[in-house]
Amino acid sequence: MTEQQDQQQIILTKLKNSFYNSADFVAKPISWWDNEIAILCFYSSIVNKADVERIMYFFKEHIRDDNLYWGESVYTTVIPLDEKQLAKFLCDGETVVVRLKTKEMIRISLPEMAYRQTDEPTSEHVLQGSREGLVENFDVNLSLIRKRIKSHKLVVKQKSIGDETNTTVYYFYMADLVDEEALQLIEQRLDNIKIDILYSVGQLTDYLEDHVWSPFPQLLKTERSDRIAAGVLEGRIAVISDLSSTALIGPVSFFTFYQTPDDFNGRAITGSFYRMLRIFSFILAIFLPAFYIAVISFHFEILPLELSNQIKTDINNIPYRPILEAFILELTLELIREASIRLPTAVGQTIGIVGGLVIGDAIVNAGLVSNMMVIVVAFTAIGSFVIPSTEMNGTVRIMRFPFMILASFFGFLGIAFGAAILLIHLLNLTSLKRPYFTPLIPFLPKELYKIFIREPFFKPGKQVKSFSPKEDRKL
Amino acid sequence: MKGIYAYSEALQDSTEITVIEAEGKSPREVRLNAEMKVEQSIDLSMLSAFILGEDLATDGLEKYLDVFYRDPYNSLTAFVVIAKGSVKDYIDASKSWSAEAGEYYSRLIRSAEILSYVPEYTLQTTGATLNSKGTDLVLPYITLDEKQQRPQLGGVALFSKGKYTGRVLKPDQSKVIGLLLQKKGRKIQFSFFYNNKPLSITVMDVKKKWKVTSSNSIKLDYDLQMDIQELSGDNLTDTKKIPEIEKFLEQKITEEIEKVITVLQEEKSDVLGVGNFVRVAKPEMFDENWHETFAELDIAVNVKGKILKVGIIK
Amino acid sequence: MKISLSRIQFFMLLFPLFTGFVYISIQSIIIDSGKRAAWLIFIVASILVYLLFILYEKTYKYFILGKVSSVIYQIYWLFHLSLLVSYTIFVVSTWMSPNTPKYALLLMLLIPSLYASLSRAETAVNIGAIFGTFIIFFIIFILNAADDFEYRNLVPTSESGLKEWIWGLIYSFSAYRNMECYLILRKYVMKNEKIAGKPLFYFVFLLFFMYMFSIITVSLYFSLDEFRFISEPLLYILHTQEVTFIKRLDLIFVFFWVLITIITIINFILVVKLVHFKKKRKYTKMRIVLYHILIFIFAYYFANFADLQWIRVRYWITFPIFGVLLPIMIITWNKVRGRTIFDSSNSSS
Repeated sequence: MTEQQDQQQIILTKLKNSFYNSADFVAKPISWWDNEIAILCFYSSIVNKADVERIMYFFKEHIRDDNLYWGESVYTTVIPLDEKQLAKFLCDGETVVVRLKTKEMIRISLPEMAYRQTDEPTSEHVLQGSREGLVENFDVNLSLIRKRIKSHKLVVKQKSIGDETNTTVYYFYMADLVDEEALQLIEQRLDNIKIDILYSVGQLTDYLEDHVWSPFPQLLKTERSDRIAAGVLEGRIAVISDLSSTALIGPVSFFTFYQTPDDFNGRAITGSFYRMLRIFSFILAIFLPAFYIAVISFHFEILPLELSNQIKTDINNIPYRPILEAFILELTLELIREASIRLPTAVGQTIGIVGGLVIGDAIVNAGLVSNMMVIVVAFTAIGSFVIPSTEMNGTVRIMRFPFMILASFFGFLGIAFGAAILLIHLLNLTSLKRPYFTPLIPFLPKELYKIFIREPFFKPGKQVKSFSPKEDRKL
Repeated sequence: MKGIYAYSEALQDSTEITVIEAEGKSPREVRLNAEMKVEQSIDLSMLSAFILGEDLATDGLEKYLDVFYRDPYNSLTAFVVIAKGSVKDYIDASKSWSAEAGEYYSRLIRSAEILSYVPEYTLQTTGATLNSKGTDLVLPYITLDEKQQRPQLGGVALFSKGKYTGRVLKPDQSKVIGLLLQKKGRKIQFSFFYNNKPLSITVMDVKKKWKVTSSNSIKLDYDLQMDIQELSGDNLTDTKKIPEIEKFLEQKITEEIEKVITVLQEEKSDVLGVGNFVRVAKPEMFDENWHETFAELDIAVNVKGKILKVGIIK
Repeated sequence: MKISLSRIQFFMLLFPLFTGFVYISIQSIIIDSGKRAAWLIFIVASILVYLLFILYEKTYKYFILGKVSSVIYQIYWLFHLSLLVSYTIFVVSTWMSPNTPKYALLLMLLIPSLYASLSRAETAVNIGAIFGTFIIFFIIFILNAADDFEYRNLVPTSESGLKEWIWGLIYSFSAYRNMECYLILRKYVMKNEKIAGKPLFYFVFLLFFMYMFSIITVSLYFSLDEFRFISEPLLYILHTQEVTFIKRLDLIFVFFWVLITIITIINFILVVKLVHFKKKRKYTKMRIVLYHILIFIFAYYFANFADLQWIRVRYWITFPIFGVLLPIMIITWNKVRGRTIFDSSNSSS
């Protein structure tokens, strides 16, 4: 036994032990140049073995280490042996060849992690336009973005977060446009994340947002690559982790959540109409049930005669107060919604029909809930589902409960009180320290119309002013 | 005083009309007493017509109306109607109808308004008129037919200084008041015999111009635009006939107006708001005794008519 | 406390301060005292007020609140705010929620204000923008009544004599009370923003337009004698309107008006805070809470018809004293001494 073989045996055992003899961990001696023995190690589950084999063959046949950069190629790097880093590289899906003689590691970066193909994000359908959604893979995601922004000014920064999971988090922005303060804030907040395990995008959101306890999302979550590209081009920053196909975009304003790519893919007038409809739906979804409860229990005289007669006949035999009635229905609706999300599509539809038609009809016939209330709650539900962002959608559905309670106690006054609190809260909110409720507040009259109108593209627009990008560039 | 409430009660799938009667010193007390007789409280927010017996109206309206203005829950868009005889009969009559009493009476008044038989007054504008010194109130007046079954429009009740004068203008005369006070969108129809053949017209638009000519006289100029609705036998192939008809109509309508104005002056009821006009045009003529001045006023009426359309046949 | 305002923020802060709470009730008293010439009187009063604005714009830098004057203003503002709050709950309880207890109504108004006052200053600065939305609604609602307008109500103006003119002017001025807020907030406007000239004119004109619109519409709608009974004529107009889907428009407007009043209170407390926390003080949050409790207590005892009526009739006095006399005295005094806010801010902070 040569000295080399001894050394090799020791290292092999050590390696296997330090990787706890994992079943997919491979470490074996191979012969390298001039009878030199090297150790090859990799995780068989995350390495593209065929390609690695081809590269190793090429190395052994065509390269000698007297060349200056002999080990450098697209896939390979040579660095001095470092046992600590070795584990990290292997976990990232690299294959490492350890040369015992020179104490060098040859890293072959050809990982093959499981990921799915890009397809249309199910939560953000569009009628027309791009259907490429993000996937749970760094390279694919970035290629989707780079494909849309072919500019060297698109900067990507990477960070590894979580002491155990070593999750890759990366953020990107346009170097010439980005809002510097927001960028610093993001970097600072990412640096401050001290956790062992990072497994969901929600964790990231909690660390990055300004107000965790607010019901309103302050970072836009999207899986659509065209939406991310558009956001980045406006000077925003996108944060993506390797774990999830959801990107976080900030800073955003409240009204960003009410826009969809469809607005821009379609015609200006239709786009504007639907944009206004969505803003209206926000008001409807939050205030309609509260308004109805307030009218029924406090301000019945507000209704014109004909309508009031209708409603009076309808609600006369309902045993409960309107607030209870509303809660019964709203909770039924939420139950149906919650139940149908996680079920397979086919069953989910059945639940929808059973819930909507059967329960809805039965509950009215049983005299628990009035027809009027069914109409109101159904309208509200539709109003809340109109909102393009699933997160804001949930917020709005939660928001109407406090309003309903206030309305049942104090009528219109309660709604006014709630509206004032809501308004102040929205004013207090910031997204990456940028005002959340722009352009309404701070009042930017020249921007205001954009909430309602989708401008034609040829009209030279100005850079958005809701935050401060470096350059006032025409879009 | 006595008050009667007719309201609908919501049942399973229909409504039923209930009538309650109560007495009290004031409208509010009547309502309180009425509430004691039913199992629920009376909600006047859906009030659609307020019918007042003519004997109560004679000593001033204001005291009955105060409660309606003071309580924010009340509807001020209801109609105020003066009824001949006992109000109870009118409500009792409603029991046999399918419509509610309130709804029925408000529809009755509204359709009369469109034809200008009664000027537009709601509870609110009634109050505004009562408080205005230069104009008087005129309210719809209803009567019952002999069988006490159907109420019908009996014309308008004339007021002077907020009190009912006891004088009623029949519908064919009350529409003249509608003409003189013309509002947009109202159609006023007249029928006459022209050469013994019926001639009906609709006044589509009125332009009025009033002028104070001396300290005791006033001139009312009216420009009417008319459509011919009916003119049997004699067709209008000859356009020369039209000025003739116009002249005839001018003369007839002037007569009608003059008759009405005589009545108004007799009753010292300035329903046209001449006082408000004089107050602006010639302030020295207007004072506390305006109603006396009005009665003595020399009012000249000058009507100009123009036939614009004759329908689809000549 | 330091804030800096852009021009538009400055005006949006002032707008609710001027119109917020006065707007609902002032027309009645102006018309009742000015009679048929009320609208004319109001135009004259507005021109005079505009001149005063120009004067203040020229001399605002001499307006330094000393210890005594600060205390005087603070007492006045506390009183003013309590009155504002109590009047609001009085109106709300007569028009909208007759059965809600007084303390609940007070809490409804003061909790949002407390929340906003404890939040960052930007919130209070910017909240006025919501105001604009309501105004559009409101104008549309009021114009609903256009059918019943009686144009002869505006003339003859000659019926108003000297007495009507004097009282009409006095009450018209009180529509522009809170002039001192202009002086106090003016120095926080960023230096490069232009206020004098056109912007100021537009602002005053907008104020004037709002008031004038309301005065004209209510006097077209009601006959003169009715103003003796009607204390909130704008609400009353809406009360008498019926549109197809809503019978009581006044309720909707009271709803908006409660929101506007909350905004006014928030803005007013911002002014109070600016003056009070000019010097660094301890227990900032406690003081703000305490201030709200004080308003709560005072307002609780003001809020009945007789007291409010008694105060309202005499309340014109605040404009000449706190809006004109006192500021002019302070300005003259500092001008003689040659002190401006720019050197005093260096020394005091």
